[in-house]
Amino acid sequence: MASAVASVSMLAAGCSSTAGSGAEDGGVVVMAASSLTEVMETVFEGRESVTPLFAASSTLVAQLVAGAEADVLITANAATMDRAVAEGSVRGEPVLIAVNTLVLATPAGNPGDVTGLADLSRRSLLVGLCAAEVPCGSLAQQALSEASVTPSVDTLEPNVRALTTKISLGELDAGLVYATDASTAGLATVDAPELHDHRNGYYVASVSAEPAPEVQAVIDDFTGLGSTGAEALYAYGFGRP
Amino acid sequence: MSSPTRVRADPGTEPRPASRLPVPLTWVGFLALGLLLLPIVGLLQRAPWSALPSILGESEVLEALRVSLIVSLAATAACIVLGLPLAFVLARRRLRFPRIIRAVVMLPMVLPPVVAGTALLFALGRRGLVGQWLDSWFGVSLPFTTAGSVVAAAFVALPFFVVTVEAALRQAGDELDEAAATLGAGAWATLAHVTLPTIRPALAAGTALAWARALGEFGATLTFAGNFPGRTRTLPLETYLALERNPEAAVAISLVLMAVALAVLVTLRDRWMPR
Repeated sequence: MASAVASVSMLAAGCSSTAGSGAEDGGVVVMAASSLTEVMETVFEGRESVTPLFAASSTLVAQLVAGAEADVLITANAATMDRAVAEGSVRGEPVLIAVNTLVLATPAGNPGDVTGLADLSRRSLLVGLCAAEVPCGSLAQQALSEASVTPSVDTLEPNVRALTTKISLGELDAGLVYATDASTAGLATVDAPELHDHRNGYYVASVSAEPAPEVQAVIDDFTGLGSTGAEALYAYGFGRP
Repeated sequence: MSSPTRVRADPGTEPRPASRLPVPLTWVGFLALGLLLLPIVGLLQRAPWSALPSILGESEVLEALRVSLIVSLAATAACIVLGLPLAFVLARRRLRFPRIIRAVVMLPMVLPPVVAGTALLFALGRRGLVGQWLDSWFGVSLPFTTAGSVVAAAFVALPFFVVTVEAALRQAGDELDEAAATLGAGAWATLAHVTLPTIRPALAAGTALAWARALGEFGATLTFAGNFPGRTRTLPLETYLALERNPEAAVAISLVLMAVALAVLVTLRDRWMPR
């Protein structure tokens, strides 16, 4: 049965090789925002046919535009997905699958005595944000400017995972990361009401306009309510769309 | 032997004429050359030539250039100050585990830069093995500072200087040094007037290689020193971010980095490297 599916998909891939599909051997390549690392590893555990790749959404889109082979793209905001669609690198219809919010995170024990968003402007603190190019960075910039906080930034990290790691190592005193990353990494969080209204949406789309059945199955896993992918997202703290 | 005046090789030791090379060897050789050239051609054909001056005149690019020059030159200076003594120790002292020590010296050349950056964080970060004492005793914290970028660049560039100079020291031998000593020259005088002039080409080559490596350093810098304009964002970091925002700018900056590196290497071969 499995081999029959594989050979059918090989034929399908052979017919649509111009669609830029990575599914030549029946495998499905899923490009996902780095904040989805644990969710994807949970969902695809034991499914060797699926290869997840993680990076900042903007990096993934740049790679796709440059001709990287993938079947499914999942970004952490609408802007990066829109760019992929506008560039013609994604031909499927994007679907909103989850939302995420930013939190003010500190290393365990909050050594910098951070009490609120305004503390990010304290020069004595080592503060990190995501670079404005990546979704968590543009969201952070938006939230900070609306709250009229001018942060004293020490580093602009290329993706949310790099930022999370530097906070958890205690090299940074505070930073704005996704709620889900903070909880996965065991960071302490400080309540910042200014962040509550700022959320971004996670979008999934097929790279090809006519995805192979196994590619569509991966997408359905996230778009269909009650499916394993959607359940895993909520279990890791992502919000329902 | 490696003095700037070239010794005329006797005709018997001239390279064999090309016609006596096995033909497939020549083909594969040119294929390899093509492999090295192709990415450069790829970059050149995507270069936004007409927009080049305006892109390179952008304030972010100039700022990154300034940080790059400061960081790479400081790292090169560190490589000379620290690397020269190390090269002497490796070449002239009887060491207990020479192979292991030499492997350790060369490790940063093969270590993935991101791993190097993480290792630096564990060692010299604010919570690192040594970094925590730097922080509590002197209030010095290296990550996210220009000094941190210099440390990262020096870490990856040091082996290039040490390996080059050590090889020259070994090749030069110590007969001249001993002769100078018999004639009554002190250790420092021998070093300054005999040893260092003998290995001058290697010193220049090692310095240039270390500088080129420091200038192109990316992974260790980003991981250890972070990324902030005017402080730690060097040209390679600017290129990486520009790739997502404005690919044309990324190509333009890459062209500059490539031109500089090429100029260094060409000058090196012409002026100092024994051919």
